Amino acid sequence: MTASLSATDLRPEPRHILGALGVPPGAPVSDRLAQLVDTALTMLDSAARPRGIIEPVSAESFADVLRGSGQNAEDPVVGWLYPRAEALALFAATLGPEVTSAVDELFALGEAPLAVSLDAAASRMADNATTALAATFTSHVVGQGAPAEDLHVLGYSPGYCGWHVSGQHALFGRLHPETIGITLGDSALMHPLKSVSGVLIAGSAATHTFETGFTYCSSCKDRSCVARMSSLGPTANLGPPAERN
Amino acid sequence: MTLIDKIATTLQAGDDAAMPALTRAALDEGLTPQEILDRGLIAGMTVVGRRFRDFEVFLPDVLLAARAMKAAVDVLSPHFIGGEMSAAGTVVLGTVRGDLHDIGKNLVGIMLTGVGFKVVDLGTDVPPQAFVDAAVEHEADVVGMSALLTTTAPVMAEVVGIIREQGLSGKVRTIVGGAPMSADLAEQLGADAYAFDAPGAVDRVQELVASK
Repeated sequence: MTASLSATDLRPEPRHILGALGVPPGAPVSDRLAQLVDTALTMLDSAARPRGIIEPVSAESFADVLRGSGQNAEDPVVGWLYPRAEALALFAATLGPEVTSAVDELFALGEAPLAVSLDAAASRMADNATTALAATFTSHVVGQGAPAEDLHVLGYSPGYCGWHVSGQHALFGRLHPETIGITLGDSALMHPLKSVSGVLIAGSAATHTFETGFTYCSSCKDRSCVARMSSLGPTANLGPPAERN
Repeated sequence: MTLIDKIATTLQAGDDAAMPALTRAALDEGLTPQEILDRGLIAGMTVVGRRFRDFEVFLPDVLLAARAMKAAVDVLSPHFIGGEMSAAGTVVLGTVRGDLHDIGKNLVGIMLTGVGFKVVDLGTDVPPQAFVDAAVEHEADVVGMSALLTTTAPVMAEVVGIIREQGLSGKVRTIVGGAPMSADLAEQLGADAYAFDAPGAVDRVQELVASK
């Protein structure tokens, strides 16, 4: 099913854009930098054409998608999480090609500060699109009778946490994001660039909680999983690596 | 505050609108283009780079300073003999075949230009041989490659291999960066250097050029 997304609803907060630009929370921000972010948001308002798609899948079907072409790490995180999920759905969303074109044009004009700010704003808006699709799926799951209490829907994407990026091919083969204008290159690169895809996992906070002790965690530069798990509140389930030991 | 100090501090503030007039004023005062470049612009950028490493300023501040530097360099360039400044070195940059992400690569190019390098930007989705051909054509010191996907990172090894096959190792050094990269992976791919971010790339490129 296609999902209704609006640029207004997905508009990122300036503090999140600043965070994406490497500015720590609470750090003093110059007037010049604040103006850059404001201008980037105004440009994003007019350039973004967000569209999204969700398709609920069974655990069995998702297992095939996750298997992909067999290039995953030995223990992809999502492989541990999805069997204990309340429900699953594949998803994709895009802001459309206009945002990337605007970034490219700014670079060509020598406006790198604004180009980078617009790119950061667009990345945050794409993240917000995932969150919006998760909210849509939450309503769907609750409508199907799942308990709303302690129900969290989070997105997990190929290219992260042991799920090889080549998994995009299997995901696209099942979801067909081409219907909302996203295509996939041979290298698993999505076009337009400001697009997101993956699986939405619905479950309790414990469902989403794991120890960051997988082999690939040591080389991870992201670590946003820790903050994401913390935002769900204290949970009892501390993940697969401990279970295996 | 002397005029040259004013140029350096205005650059640090990222005030590109004020730079042309200040630069012209410095020329009118009799300062040479090289003095303005070294003691004003590069000195200012060096401070910005240090403050970035110390988390006192952030990426957009660095880019604003780089834009201010360009505004000044545009005024200075015609005053150099032959209309061109001597470069600190030449770097060929590109995002490797199969990948269209170019923000990081663009930042590296801007910052290298800011500290005096000549940058030949090949863009995105660049075939391996094109990196080497450009390096030969422009007599480059360094080839810089960017990738954001694990599927495209191996292309970097192809570039390193061609450089080796053509007997250019040592003459043309290589540096890699991007989300899937690490120092270990860079070593596995045979690259001479790895950088985590754009300011780090500038440091590594300077080291590579100095070590030639």
